[in-house]
Amino acid sequence: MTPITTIDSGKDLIDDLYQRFQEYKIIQQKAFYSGKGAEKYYSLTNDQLEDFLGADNKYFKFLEDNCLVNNKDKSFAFISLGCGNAEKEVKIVELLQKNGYKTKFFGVDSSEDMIILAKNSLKKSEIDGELICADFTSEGFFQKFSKGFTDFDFRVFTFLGGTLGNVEQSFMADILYDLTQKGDKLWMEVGVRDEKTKKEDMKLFARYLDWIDNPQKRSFLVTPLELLGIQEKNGKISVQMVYEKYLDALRFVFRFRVEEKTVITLQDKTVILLPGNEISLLTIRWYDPEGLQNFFEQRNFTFVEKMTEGSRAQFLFEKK
Amino acid sequence: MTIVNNLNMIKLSHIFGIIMPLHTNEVKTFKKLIEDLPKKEKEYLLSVLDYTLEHHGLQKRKSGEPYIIHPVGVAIRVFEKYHDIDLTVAALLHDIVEDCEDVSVEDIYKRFGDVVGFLVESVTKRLEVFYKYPEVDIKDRIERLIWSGLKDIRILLLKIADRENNLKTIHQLKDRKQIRMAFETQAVYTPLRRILHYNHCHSITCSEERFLTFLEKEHLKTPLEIKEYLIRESFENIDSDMFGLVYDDTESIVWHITSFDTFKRICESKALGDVIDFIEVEGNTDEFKASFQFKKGTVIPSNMKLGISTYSK
Repeated sequence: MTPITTIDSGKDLIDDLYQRFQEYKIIQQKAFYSGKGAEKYYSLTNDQLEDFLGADNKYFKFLEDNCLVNNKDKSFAFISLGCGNAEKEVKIVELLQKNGYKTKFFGVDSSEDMIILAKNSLKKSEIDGELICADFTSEGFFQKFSKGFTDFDFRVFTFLGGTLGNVEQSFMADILYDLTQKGDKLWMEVGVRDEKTKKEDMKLFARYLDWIDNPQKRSFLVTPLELLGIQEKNGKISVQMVYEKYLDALRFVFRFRVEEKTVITLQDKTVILLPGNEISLLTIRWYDPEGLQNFFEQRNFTFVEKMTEGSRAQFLFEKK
Repeated sequence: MTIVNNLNMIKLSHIFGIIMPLHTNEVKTFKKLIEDLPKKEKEYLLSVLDYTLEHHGLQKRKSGEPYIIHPVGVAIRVFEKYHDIDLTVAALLHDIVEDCEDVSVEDIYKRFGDVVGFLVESVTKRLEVFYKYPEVDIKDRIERLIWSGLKDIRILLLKIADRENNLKTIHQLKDRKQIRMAFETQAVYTPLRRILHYNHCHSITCSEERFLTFLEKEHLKTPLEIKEYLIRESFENIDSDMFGLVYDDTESIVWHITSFDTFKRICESKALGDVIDFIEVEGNTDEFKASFQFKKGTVIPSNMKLGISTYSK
């Protein structure tokens, strides 16, 4: 039986979502992955997941050759931040344990629904693992785990599935800086720009413009609106593309613009939205490899290696 | 400085390995072009060339090339197109008042006559009063040019040829100047070129007829009306005053387009895609808006319409 530690429950996540929305009209990205969002997310990203699982040995070798080759006698924690259903991580940890590495898996996710999916993935395998239902950016998680995982010689933190691009970058990088210790590894999977040309940028924009009309993708985009009780028909969704110079990245933000007066009640409090109010929904980033590398190098991480396949790239860093 | 002295100077500079104005390809081409003209006209043009060489002397362009290649290049262009002597002379002299302190508009009128004097004066910047029309008070540079063009269409043809030649070396200018030149070209000279059928008309009369037909059809009378019409051909929501503001401070301008197809075409055009920075692009199935700034000067394809989004000094 996989042990589950709950720091933030599903109710905590919803309460937090409501409170942030009441105060700042902000939707946290984690709202996309709870409730039906978890299921919708995997229906959208199933191809990527299958590609990864079909080439798990390649990813394992990437990690082994670049991070673990001289560490076979050392023990390490394999910690997935935002583990989702943890299928990718479980595959890698299986290969690690099969190859004699002394490792233990920790899957962290703020969504109870994702933790249930992760539990099922672990159940199917024989790996040594533990799940933590928590927002890893929260104070509660930091208090309990920042100095945790110390029974191991080092830690491998992973950020798979491209969700790094969903969140505020500097905040996330600072959190990672505080969570990691000297010698810890950081493995991130991100979307990368094939070419830094306007033509490629335009193609990406056109791709997300199509999401608005695609029923399956649109259904994922409105997940947090459903949680807040905002009817989709009361507004319009648009997508915005902005170039982020500090990262050399392209940021796409789906936004909901209210067109009809909307009244909702959150935790017994009334929220009135008027035409013209805008709510940012999902954020997606496409990185330039050098920009991302530089961004983490500025935070005391040494770039170790990267592996690029089409528009997906795996990056490895080590904390100095 | 006499021609003889100038030639001596050129010979001297040759010793030090400096490129000689007299030996540039442009000068050679020009001389070859006018070879078959009647003796009188040929000698006249050669004397004007000497005068130009004497005064532009060893002035250099930003690229380090002799300055003379520009006026001679413009003269070659207009001569090849129109075979008009006064226009060719004016092309050779068109920058002389601006760039040579020892030559005034009055000198040009006196030495080359009223026709050439007026042509040169009309394309010379920073002049407020016309030598022969002191009563005309037009401060705006473009309106002043159009006013002259209404009197003699060759002024507009000369200015287009001048700009055409300048655009070849636009990348040697500072970024700010590149943007400014590109903006003005887009706002004024590209539409003017189209109206005058510059590419297709090979006689001054043809361009003049096109221009008059256009003015009649659009009911345009004053230089200001014509200028605003030209600007509207390329840009939305921009009037003459805004043009002035933008011209003086082109780097602060954020442009916007509201058509996804235009956005797509800009992105697919390497020439444009490389010289702009998108600030924000937003859209859905019903609406689209893209805002961008120019990094360096470039001329927007003439069938793209841009609108000013924001402007701040």
